[in-house]
Parts: sequence; C-alpha cells; structure tokens
Amino acid sequence: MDIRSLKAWYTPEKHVLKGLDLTLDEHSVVGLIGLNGAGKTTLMNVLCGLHDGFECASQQYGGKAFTFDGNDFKGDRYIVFSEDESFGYFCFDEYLTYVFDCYGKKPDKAYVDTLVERFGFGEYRGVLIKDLSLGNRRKAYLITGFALKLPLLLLDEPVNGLDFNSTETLYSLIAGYKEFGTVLFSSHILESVTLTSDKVLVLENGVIAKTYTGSGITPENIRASLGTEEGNV
Amino acid sequence: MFKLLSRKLLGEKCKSGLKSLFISAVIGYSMSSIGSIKISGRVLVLTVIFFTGTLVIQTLSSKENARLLRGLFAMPCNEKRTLWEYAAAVGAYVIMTKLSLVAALFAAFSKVTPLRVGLFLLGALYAVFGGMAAFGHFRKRPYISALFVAAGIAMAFLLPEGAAGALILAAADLAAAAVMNFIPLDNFRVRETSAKRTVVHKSGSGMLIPRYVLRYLTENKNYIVSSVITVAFSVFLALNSQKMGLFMGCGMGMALISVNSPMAVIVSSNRGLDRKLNALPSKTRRFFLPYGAALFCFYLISFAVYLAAFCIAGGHAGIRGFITAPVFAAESAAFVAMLENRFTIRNWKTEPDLWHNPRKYILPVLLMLEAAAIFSI
Repeated sequence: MDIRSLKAWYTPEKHVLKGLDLTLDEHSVVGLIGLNGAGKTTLMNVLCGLHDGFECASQQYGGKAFTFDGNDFKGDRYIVFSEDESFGYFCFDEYLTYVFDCYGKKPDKAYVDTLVERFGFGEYRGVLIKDLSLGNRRKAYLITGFALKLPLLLLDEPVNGLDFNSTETLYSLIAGYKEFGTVLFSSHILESVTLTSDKVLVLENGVIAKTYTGSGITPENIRASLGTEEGNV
Repeated sequence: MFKLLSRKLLGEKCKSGLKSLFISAVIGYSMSSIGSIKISGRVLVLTVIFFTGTLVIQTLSSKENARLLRGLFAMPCNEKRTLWEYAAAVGAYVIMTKLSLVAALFAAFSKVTPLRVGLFLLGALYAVFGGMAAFGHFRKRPYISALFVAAGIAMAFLLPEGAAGALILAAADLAAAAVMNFIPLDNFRVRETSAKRTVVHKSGSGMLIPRYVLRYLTENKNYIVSSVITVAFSVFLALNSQKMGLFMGCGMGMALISVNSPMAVIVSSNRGLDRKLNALPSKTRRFFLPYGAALFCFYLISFAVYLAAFCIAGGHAGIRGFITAPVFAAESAAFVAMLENRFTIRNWKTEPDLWHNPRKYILPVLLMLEAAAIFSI
C-alpha cells in the first residue's frame, strides 16, 4: 500500500494529518509511534474508511488505485480498535463466526483454539462480550484479527488493557504475522515497537517525522525523535 | 450542578433547548389550520405522564449521563440543593426539548383552555418528580417506585374532569416532590458495570443476527416492559380514536407500536457497533437483511398481541385489521432496517435524544396515513 500526501481533519481549518506519506510493504510489521494527539487513531480511521474529512494525492494498493471504504480493500483488511464496545450481545465464538462470514471465510478451528489458549481466553469463550473485562474484550477482537490471516491487519493501541502474559503473546503474534501479511500497529509503548517491528514510523505534527528500519530501531533513537527520556513515550 | 447539566443537555446558554421550543411552535402553528379534534382530559394526562415519565427515566439512566455524573457525585456538595438542581435540569431538558412538541400538537389539534394548560403542566410535573422519586427508590425500595407508576396510571384513568382533577394532580405533584426531597443523592448514580455475567452454553453458527437481536431484547428487560406498555397505550388510544373523531380503526395502534425505539436504534445506540459494521465488509447482506427479518417477527408478534388485546377490550379489528398487520410489520421492518443502515443517528448526547430523534416519527406518520386510507374506505 502506498499513500501520498494524506491530509485529514475534523474541522477544515485544523488539519490533524498534514500531508503524510505512508508505504506498507507486503509481509512486514510496521509500528507507528507518537505522542498523544499526534494523529495515530485518525490515520487508522482513515485507512479503514471511517473518517470522511480527508484528501489524498494518490492511494495505491497492490499497484492499483483504491478507495479506503471500497469492498475490495475492506475484504483484505481487519482492524482492532483501541476502544471497542461492538457486538456486546455475542459471545466470542458467535462474533468470530459472524466476522468470518462477512469475509466469506471459514475459521481454522485448530488455529483459533491455539490463539485462545495462548491468550488464556478459554473460560471466556461463551461469555457475552459486553460482560467481559476490558482486557478480555480486547483479546476477543485480537484473536479474531489474527485468526482471519488477512493481507493487512491494523491494530490501534493493541497493548492497552492486556496483562503481562497476553502482552508477550501479542508481541510474538505480531512478529510472526509476516507469514500471512502485513501488520500496521500504533502504540505509545516503546518496547512494543522495538521488539516486533521491521519498520518504525514516528508520527509527529501530522507527518511521518522519522522512519527507522533494521538496526536503527533502538529505544535511544526513538526517544531522541520524540524528545523524551522515559520508557513510555 | 444545574449549569453543568443544563449546558450538556440544553446546550450553551440553553440554545438547543430554545431551538427545540421554536421548532415546536412553528410545527404547532403550521398544523393548527388542519382541523381540530376533541381530546379528553384523561387522554391528555395519560399522554403527558406516559411520555414525560418515560423520558425522565431514560435521561436518569442514560449511560452518557452516568459518565458525566460519576465524578460529580464523588465530590462533596450540598446534597439537597444538588438534588433539586438535578431535577430542574432534567425537567427543563425533557419539557423544553421533547414535551414542547407534544404541547404544540395538542394546541394545534384541540381547544386550549386554562384548565387544560394546567392539567398539562401538572401532569408534566408529576412525571418529573414522580420519575425522579421512582428512579431514586428503585434499587432499595422498588415498591415505592411501583406505587408512583401505579398512581400515574390510576390518575390517567380515574381522574375526574374539571378543576377537581387538577387539584388531585397538584396534590400528587406535592407528594412526589416531598418523597423525592428525602432521597439520598447517591441513589441517582448509575452503576455501569454489573457482576452478572451471561454465559452462552451452546452457540451454533446459524441465525446469528436474529439471535443477537433477541438477546438485545431479553438482556434489557425494560425494553420488553416498554414494548408491553406501548401495546397497552396503543389499545387505549385506538379504542378512544373514534370518540376523538379519528377514523383509522386498529391501524392507528399498529402505527404507534411501530414507534418502538430500542428495537429501531440497535445500531444508532451503539457507536462501536456502527463503526464496526462500517469497517467490516458485506454489512447490508450480513447484518441489515437478517436484522430486518428479526424486526419483522418482532413487529408481527407485537401486532398480534395488540390485535388480540384490542378485540378483547371491545374493539373491532375486522378482516382488514388482520390483513393489514403482516403488511405493516413488513413495511416497518424494511423501513427501520433501511434507516439504520443508511441514516444512522450519530449526533446524540443522551439516549432520549436518540430515541426521540425526528427520524423515528417518519414511519408512524406514514403508517397512520396508510391506516387512514385503508380504514376510511
């Protein structure tokens, strides 16, 4: 996916994204890091066709022009939102079945069971999503996202609300997702991007201010870009 | 407290409240030339108490309000003063933004006399104070809440005509205000989380959305209660419609039942669900078509119960009533599903804003016109 000069706004006089360029290679993990208000969630919402106030010089997916809310692109990506209270009256298994139906796919039950076990979610499979804690609700949406194995997985602040073990599992799954496609995830936790990403984008003032790859992905470099000294940025 | 709440509910300097009053006045004035009907004092009082009381309870239990009030109730304050300010803000919100339209319609279609204006205002006050008292006692003393609801219904049916009725209503207002005055402020705090956890023991893969809709209804018992009350209210109004000079037969009741809000805003009421549906592919085929089918069953059952109650209470549905029911159910289901899909309500502050959005009245008005055409032949 290649996007040139993306501008987005909530009120036309104040742009949140100010001409952002973004390239996502196939089968890679891209971490997006930035301070509060940098525009991470706005970027995620634009990418999944949920934000109307935007313009873009060019947008290409698989070498062809595309629209963020077009059915072809929708069928290739899934997003886990930072805050989500959807489908509260489904239990996890019903939600998973429904989402797979939407994508016209059948779940790989063995793989789903593995994900459920790794996240320690087994005893909550039958509980209505609305009755789950924040962390367990997040796990339900994450497991669904990883189980779909779509070409593009978008995760908005996926670490929030997860316990220590689930965070470790998440890092491992993000790093291993390259087998199926590309992950773009936003975070304000430094270790989450340094431990998993092939490429780190530092979002600042509505543009990608710095890009780090390979050995350049170090806590020191990222702290320096954001002008912070602490572990959490 | 009043300033904070009124700013949230009525807008900066009550602008949105005043706008609602202005719109109601314009609608009332523009409809006043259509003609007049005779509306009895009891119908007036029942409508005002039923409509306003429901709105007061909805506003008090609104999750949006709960978030706003959580921090506020944790701070030290003058409890009595805050309670009365809370009642004033909720009352002003309901009366200015919602009840004003009902007042305008009554004024447009029936004769305005000082006594009727008095009955209208006293009924509204009973709904505000009684609603606050019923809500405040619901968790610890539900029998007091039941008493206020029963008193409201009893007054609507048994209230004598004339000044005596107004006096009884005024006494009931004072009693409700007195009871409300002694309720601790903390009783109005809305608990968002519940220890109860619903476990689905067997979850098949078929009929997912109808199952979701059914669970949405059964997990919120107040939605079932409001549906039953709407059916009862519709039977009452349909039976009185001929006395009021309306010739819509039992079709009028079905039009009123189609107003049912919770079922008609399943997506609008959950911003997360709306966003998720837009993010996922195939939302029309996978969600809105089965949602429409579930709504069809819901309306069909509601209309069947309504027609049975209507006939038992002495009404005459006739063959036209029984043919109209499935047609109206199909129309209602298709229309509501289409509105939720294409015209999702997003700009709302509290649940009552959502449940009383003008969008909700399009369908009943259409069905009323159809009922008038069908039953006047």
